[in-house]
Amino acid sequence: MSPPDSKLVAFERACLGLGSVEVLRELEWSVAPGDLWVVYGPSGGGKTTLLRTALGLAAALRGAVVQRATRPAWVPQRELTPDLFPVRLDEFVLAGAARPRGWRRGPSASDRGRVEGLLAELELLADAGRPLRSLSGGQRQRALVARALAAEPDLLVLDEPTSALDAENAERVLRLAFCAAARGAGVVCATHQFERVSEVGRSVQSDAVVGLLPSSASGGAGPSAGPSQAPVRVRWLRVDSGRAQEAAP
Amino acid sequence: MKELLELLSLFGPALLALAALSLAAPVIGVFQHVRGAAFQGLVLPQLAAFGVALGYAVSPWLVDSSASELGAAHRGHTHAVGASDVYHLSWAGAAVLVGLAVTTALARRPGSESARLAALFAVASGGAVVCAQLSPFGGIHVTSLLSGEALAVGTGDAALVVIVALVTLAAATWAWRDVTSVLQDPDFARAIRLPVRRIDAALGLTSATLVVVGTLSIGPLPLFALLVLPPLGARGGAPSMASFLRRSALVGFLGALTGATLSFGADLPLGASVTLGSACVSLVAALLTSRKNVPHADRCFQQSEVPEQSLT
Repeated sequence: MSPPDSKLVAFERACLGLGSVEVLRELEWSVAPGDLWVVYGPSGGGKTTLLRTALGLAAALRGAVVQRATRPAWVPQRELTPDLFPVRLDEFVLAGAARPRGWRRGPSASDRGRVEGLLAELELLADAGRPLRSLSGGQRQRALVARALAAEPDLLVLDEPTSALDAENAERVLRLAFCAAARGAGVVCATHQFERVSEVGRSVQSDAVVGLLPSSASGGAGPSAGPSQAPVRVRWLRVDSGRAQEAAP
Repeated sequence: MKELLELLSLFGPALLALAALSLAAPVIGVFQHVRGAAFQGLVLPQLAAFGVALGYAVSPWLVDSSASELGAAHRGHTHAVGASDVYHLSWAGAAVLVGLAVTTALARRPGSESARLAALFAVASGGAVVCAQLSPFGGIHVTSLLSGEALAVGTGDAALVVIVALVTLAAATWAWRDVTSVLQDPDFARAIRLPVRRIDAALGLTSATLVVVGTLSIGPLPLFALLVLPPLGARGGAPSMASFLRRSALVGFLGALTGATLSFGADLPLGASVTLGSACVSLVAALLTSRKNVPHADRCFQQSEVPEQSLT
């Protein structure tokens, strides 16, 4: 059990909603470094609302949400509409590395190296120079994952990141999520494909997944500079009927 | 040659202001375009014109002593930025900022942003005409402003336009990645803790300043064209956002050059000619690059064979 002040995000008797409509009640839940939470439940149950609130994109209606993550990132569920943006895939992924850093702007050499490694890991390197609008739905979904990982997040939130992917690419994405958790990030993944998460979890717990993610000069994917020693803790959160509780499917 | 030099000595400041705006306005237009709010390119200049007309209409009650100066001194006949310029800049700036504030406040409500912008354009257009009529001596100046009679630009006005345009281009060069991130996916930008509101506010303020200064020097008509048309012409063939920005500025400059040539060659109003020139150049640019609009897979793979280059 992690001490309370090490939690990346903690919900304390929080009520969450869309506008003024309450979706989740009395939520007591937290994410610690190295946790990999799988959030599941029926559509419309409030999974996305929970994830958005965890990231600070929405406020709780009541109760408290304490956020200590300094480098959160997320993979949204919705399809991108890149038609207006003539953005190349590598440019798009590099946007994940954007951080407020004073007067200096533009990605560093290590940012570019990390992005190249991520594209290679997600089988997208051959398409790095292609406009985003010319990619397939599955490629765009992997691009969203790569963009989030390029941020070297300490809290990685994925909203159905494998919904448009074939089995091979879905496994690739989930292994990277495990890798981020193994490096010390807190990972929250909403999915309907929890059997696949279980399969990947069983296979990667014994593997050296830490090396999957490319490192920057300053550190790895998580808040610590190197791989964490603790194994990834896979935990399950069922979101249904206005309640969220820890329960394996 | 002698005629050209005479033209430059007479209309140099106007052409200099036009050249500076033709490079900077399309860059702002690109950001409006990718946000899906290209209609702002029409609304903001029209709001500035409304502000100028409103300033003329209320001037008898506000500036008794300088009212005659406001009426007598046609904008641009002065060589330095004087009290009347500050007065008009203030009114135009206030109108644009109020318009931006209204659209920002209404953006959180359900409904179409383009419909809200269209409504604002209608109000600004009607307001500009009514205020010009109500003004005891401003009607002729507002009418010339609206019709794009942009030749009477003083050196002070031109210098102000050039400075604002340079600042706009420098800011865009420095921060285009962050601005693009915010416009493309505001939620992701917020999640990774980019200062979304500050970037949005800075973009709005830069756009407002350029539009106000530009409207007062060359009028709203050419600004409509320079904000809206070059991004449409440049978008198709642009492989990246940086390229899109550069190409839009180039198309804007060529459009202004074509328009100025047409204006002096056929003795037509400069503002209207710039609009037509920009339309022609943008159309040509769009046609020339239309083949690249939908990238062919083979071409893309050829491009991406050297990933190191694509990542630089």
